[in-house]
Order: sequence, then structure tokens, then C-alpha cells
Amino acid sequence: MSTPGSYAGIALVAPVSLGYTKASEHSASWYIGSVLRELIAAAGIAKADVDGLAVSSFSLAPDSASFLTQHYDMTLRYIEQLPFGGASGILALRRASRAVQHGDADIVACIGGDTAQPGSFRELAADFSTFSNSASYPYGGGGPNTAFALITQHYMKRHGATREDFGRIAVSQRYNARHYPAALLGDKPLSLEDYLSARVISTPLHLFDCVMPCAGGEGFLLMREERARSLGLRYVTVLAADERHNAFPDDPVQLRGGWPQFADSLYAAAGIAAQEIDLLQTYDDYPVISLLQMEGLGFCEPGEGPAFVRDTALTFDGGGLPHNTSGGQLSVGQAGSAAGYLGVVESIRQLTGTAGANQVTEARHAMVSGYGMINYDRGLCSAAAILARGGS
Amino acid sequence: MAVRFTTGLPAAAGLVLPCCSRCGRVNYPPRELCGACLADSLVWQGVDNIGMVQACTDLHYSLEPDYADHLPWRIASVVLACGPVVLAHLQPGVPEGTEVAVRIVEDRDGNRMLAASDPHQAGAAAEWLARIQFKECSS
Repeated sequence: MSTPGSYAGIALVAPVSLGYTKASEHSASWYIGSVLRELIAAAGIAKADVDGLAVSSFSLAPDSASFLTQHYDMTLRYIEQLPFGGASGILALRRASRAVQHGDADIVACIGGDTAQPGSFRELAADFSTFSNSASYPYGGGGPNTAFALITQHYMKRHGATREDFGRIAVSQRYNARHYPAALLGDKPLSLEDYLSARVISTPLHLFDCVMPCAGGEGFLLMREERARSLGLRYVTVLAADERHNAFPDDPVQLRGGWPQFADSLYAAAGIAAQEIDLLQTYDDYPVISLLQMEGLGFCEPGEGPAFVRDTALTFDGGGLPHNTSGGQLSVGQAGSAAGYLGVVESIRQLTGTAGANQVTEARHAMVSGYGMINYDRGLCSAAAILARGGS
Repeated sequence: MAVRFTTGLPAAAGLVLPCCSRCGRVNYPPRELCGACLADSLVWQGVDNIGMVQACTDLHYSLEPDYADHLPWRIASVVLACGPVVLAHLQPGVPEGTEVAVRIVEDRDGNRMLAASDPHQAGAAAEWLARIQFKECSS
């Protein structure tokens, strides 16, 4: 099988996260456009300099990416709409990199943005996909909790994981969120006792295993390194990135995503080993999925995730493997498709030294991982990228 | 309440699923083309309804008001001997790793869904379905 070509020459700049709130009267186009405005301001460029747009949103309908060009009065030569949920940010990065490498665009704004209104999460869950509508949602109306409860229960039985193991992930992320002002749950301390005594949602999942749906936007600009340097912007480079869709379809219950299919070639392309990763951003819609990413991306062996999180500090300043350094979705909130960009945006902040109170010291390499689209019983999209501190 | 879920399941006794008359693959969830060979050859047919419970959960929170009154509600993922993985309502007290029989049932509003029960406890299974006001379908 061929492997992805080099991402040399690509720079990611201007990390923007904004507008996180539990419910909003604004539309998705407000969120996406507001992120765009802040990206332009952060980069010190004109709106007309942005000639490519890659967007993801669950709540944009009936509008689409095309219509946004008129909303924002822009003429573009490259556009993508990426409906890949938690993998959207990495997929946007991959697609936009190729466009810029090959001259289809010079500056691409990559943005995930979603609004949230009371009841909108139920509407999304109740009409998510053909398979979900016919074969998942009717069984108890649990929404995504059902598939993840089944995955978590199976993982616990197979690998001997305990609730404390999942709790370590949630509690560490809350600690990180307490140093990231935009996190919606960052003002609420969470102890392991709090985690363990929370109300049950769908056994074995309890309240703090579940993300809080919210509104918010995340974005970054993608351009050539020379452009970033000439603009005087701090930037991040892409050492390697890959993705899989519906990997291991014959596994009866999902105990691995697509990551094991490309982890070795990812590290080979990046020229570094897992031990040289300074921070890891996983897609944490339920802690068990973070464990699958740690295992699939070579931080530990398959099934060794519980031992790994018992032995490894996951806080941004714990000296172990800083994980979901802004708090992840579990503590920041899950802003629809923006959640698929959260890890990329936070990695850019960390690697450019602009993170603030949750800054990881000496952050040179970040692994950011994405996971998305629970069509029926499992997440279909898996993606990951290794990013490195660039210049300027 | 009216039928509100489009599960696509027919009112048939036992377990009837879309089977490919070209390659033999049993398909689930329902779809229009065979997932294996992409032929437009799917026919609803009776299949072996025995399966193994892979994982189960008790839902304590539901987005659907009808379920909210009946929580906790037990759901399983079941690997059928004939191939596919199905989600099904699960008879209480049946743990993961046990053999179950999967049938099409209908709730009191006419929503047809799958239910998994212990084939060796027919009485308890019937009692469970009656309690939750589900009935087995007949062809």
C-alpha cells in the first residue's frame, strides 16, 4: 500500500477558539464567520487574502459551505465541507495541505463551528443517519451514549479496565481545564471521588464520562511556511498525517479504531518515535475512546491502556504525557463539529508557546488524533497527525 | 402514540433480515444494496436467530419520553450466528457472553424492533415482553 506524501512546506497558524456557551441563539454561520474574523485579525491579513475555506458543522443546514461565501462576501478558489465529526479537523488539515502544496489555494481557513439550542442535540441524535435511525436510536433513545456504553462495557470486560482508569483521564483533563479559561467546566473541580459517585447515565457510563454538548467555534489558517514567516507568524509544521474509514469492520464490538493500520508509517514519515511526542490530544467523546487512541497510536500496547493511565501523569504539568491539555471535550464542552478541530487548535497553541496557564514546557512535537461518526455501533473515521514546532 | 421509528423490519415471526440472493450475505442494518457484493438483490428472509451477547448496557437516561418512564432499559449488542451485529432490547438478567434468540417484536405503538432473550427461559422471556408491552410478530 502507498503511504501519504510529505507535508513539507505547510504551516498552521493563528489558533482560534471562541464563543463557547451551553446554548446560543446564534446560527452556525455566526460561529464560523466569527472564527474567520478572528483568524484574519490574528494573522494580520486581509479577508481577500483567504482564498480557501474548509468548514465543518452539524448545524449549518439548510446552508452549506458554498452559501457561506456569500454570507461573508468572499471569492474563493478552493472550498471543502467536511462532515466527519471528531475527525474533521485533521481531515481539513490533510485536504487543505494538498491544496496549498499544489497551488489550488494560498491561504485556507479551516473552521469547525456549531451552535446549540435547547433540544437541538436530541434532534441531531434522533435523525443522525439511516443506520442509526433504523437500528440504533429506536433502542432506548440513548443517542451516542448507547454505542459508547456497549464499547466501554466490552473493553472493561476484555481488558480488565476499571472505572478508576477512565476516571484518571477525566480528572486529569479537568485539572487541565482549570488552567484554560474558555473551558465551560473549568470552574468546577473534579476529584476521582466526584467522578466515581456521579449519577449513572448508561452502565458503565456515568455523568463525567459523557461530554456536554455546547456551541462554539475552533479554527486555524493553513499556508506555506514562507508566507507564515513573511507575515511574522509563529507556526506549526505537519510531520505526518493519515486517516482510515471503517477499519476492522469485522470486529464485533469496536476495540480499536483505524490507528493501528497507519501508526507505524506515521512515525516513520515523521522521523520520530512515540516517546518523542511531548503532548497528545485525543478525541475524548468518552474516556474509553482516548484509551483506544493511546493504544492504536503506540503509546502502549493494545489492552494496556488502563495500566498506561495508571502509570502516566496526563496533566499538562505532570511530567508524564500531557493529554488533552485544554481539558478536551469532557471539560471544555463538545461544540459539535468544532470538537473535531479542538485538538489541532490546542496543539498549535501549545507548539507556538501561546497556550497560557496550561502551557506545556518544551513542547516540540504533538500527536493529535480524531475519531468520529457513530453511524450505528461504532465510530467510522479515525485520523491522526504529528505536528511540530516551526519557526518565526 | 404513533409509529415513530423507521426500523424497516417486517411483521414476521422469528427473525427476518435482508439476505442477498446473489452472494448469500445477511445484511443489517437494513439497506438497499448488498454490503458485500453491492448487488440489488436483497430479499427479506428468515434467518438463524441465535446469537451471542457481546456487550450490554442499562440505559438510565433517554432522549425519548416514552422510554423515560421505563428506565433503566437494557440494550445489548448481539453477534448473530448468521453474521451481522444487531442492537436489541435484552431480557433482564441475561449477561454478556450468553446465547440468545433474537426476534422481531412490536411495541404498543406498532414500532417493530429486535428483542433478545434466553432461548432456555421461554417463560421468563414471555413474561418480560408482556411486562414491557411488547408482542412477538406473527407472519
